[in-house]
Amino acid sequence: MRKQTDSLRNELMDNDATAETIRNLECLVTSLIELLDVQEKVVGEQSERLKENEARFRAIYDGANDAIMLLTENGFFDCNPSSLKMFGLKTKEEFVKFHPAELSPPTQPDGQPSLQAAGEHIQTAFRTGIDRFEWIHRRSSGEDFPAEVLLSAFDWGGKRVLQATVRDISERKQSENALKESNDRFIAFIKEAAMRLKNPLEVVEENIATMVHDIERGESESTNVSLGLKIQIKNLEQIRKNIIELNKAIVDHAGELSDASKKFLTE
Amino acid sequence: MKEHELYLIMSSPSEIRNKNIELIEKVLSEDYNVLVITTNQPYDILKKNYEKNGILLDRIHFVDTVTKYAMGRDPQPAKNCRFINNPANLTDIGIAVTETLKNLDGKKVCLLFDSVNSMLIYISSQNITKFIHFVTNKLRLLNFTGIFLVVEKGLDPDVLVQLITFVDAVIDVDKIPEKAS
Repeated sequence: MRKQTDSLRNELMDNDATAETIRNLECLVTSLIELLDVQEKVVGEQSERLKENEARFRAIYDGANDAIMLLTENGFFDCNPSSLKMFGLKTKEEFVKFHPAELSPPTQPDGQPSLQAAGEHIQTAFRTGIDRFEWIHRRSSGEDFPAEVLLSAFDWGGKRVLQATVRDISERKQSENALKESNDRFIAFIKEAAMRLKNPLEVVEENIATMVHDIERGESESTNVSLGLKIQIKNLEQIRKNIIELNKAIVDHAGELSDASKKFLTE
Repeated sequence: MKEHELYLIMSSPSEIRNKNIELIEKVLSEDYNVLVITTNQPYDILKKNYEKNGILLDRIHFVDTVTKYAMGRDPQPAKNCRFINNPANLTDIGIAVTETLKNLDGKKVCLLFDSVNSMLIYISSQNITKFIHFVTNKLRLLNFTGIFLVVEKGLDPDVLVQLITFVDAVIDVDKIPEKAS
């Protein structure tokens, strides 16, 4: 084939006009070949970059501590390894059989059915592009746990899908609850302490006022006055102890106080 | 006043002494016996006060938690008074109340706390409500008639709400016109 081509070429080159045309054609073909080489190189480089990007994003997706899943209104179609770990499932194939509501208790803490609530959040994310909320999920073991969910909408292969990023916030909730309980206990203690100071001091005040009144009117015996005053002394001693108890609770709760201040408050 | 009903009587702290006198006069006139549990005024002073107002003591019984505590020794025994060593000793107070009520079986009883505010010096509000609940349960079980529980106003609303659950009705004596002198 090559010999026939060369022979034909030599025959055509004997004619000046066709020789010129052939030379031009040869230049064009050479240019086209060079262009194709460049395009192939560019495509190859782009392909390499795409592969690198895919590998990078895949590494981020697969390596993320948060559970990241992809879903539509009908349910999940992809997830990362952290999702499997979070929900106690073994394979992606197993995971994508579920709808988000099926990885949740029947109702959320506000009483709304999980299926209905999940549907509303999915619709919100598709409509506005993003939705962030707290949710109670359920692992395959049956254990419920609080989660923070971020739904983000984006285009994937020509259709609109959601990326769900789910973070287990059990520890944070426990800390929040512990802090709230501690504050509630402290406030209850302060209320109790205030009642056990304010009202009793009013009693002591009333009793002393009555004794003064009776003494001024000559209506009391000294033994009764003595007994009455001894009782008020005992009352005031106990009220002072109650104040020290209150101060100890304040010192324990307050955090940074100098040793001198602590000593003053608690002794 | 209905039989077998428990009433919570409330008065302002400055008026409670006078209102107690009026209440005692009224219930004694209706053949009630009165049991005074006092963590505030000692027996001797209460007795003097009642006698000064013409109140006979034969149907008044006392559980006094402050005299022995303040004196640091046993006081002179009194026929109608049980002395407790410490206002915080709810066990002994409970026993004294139970034994006194046993002796009043079949009679109409008015129970008077003098006072919840002074009890708060020595006892937490939680233990006070538990104690009052114990006493009111005992009164209901023993089927006493027409029982009163007298406390001051100005208590913590949370404590008051609990006390109200132990009774059938609440009476604010400050809203009752004073008797003509």
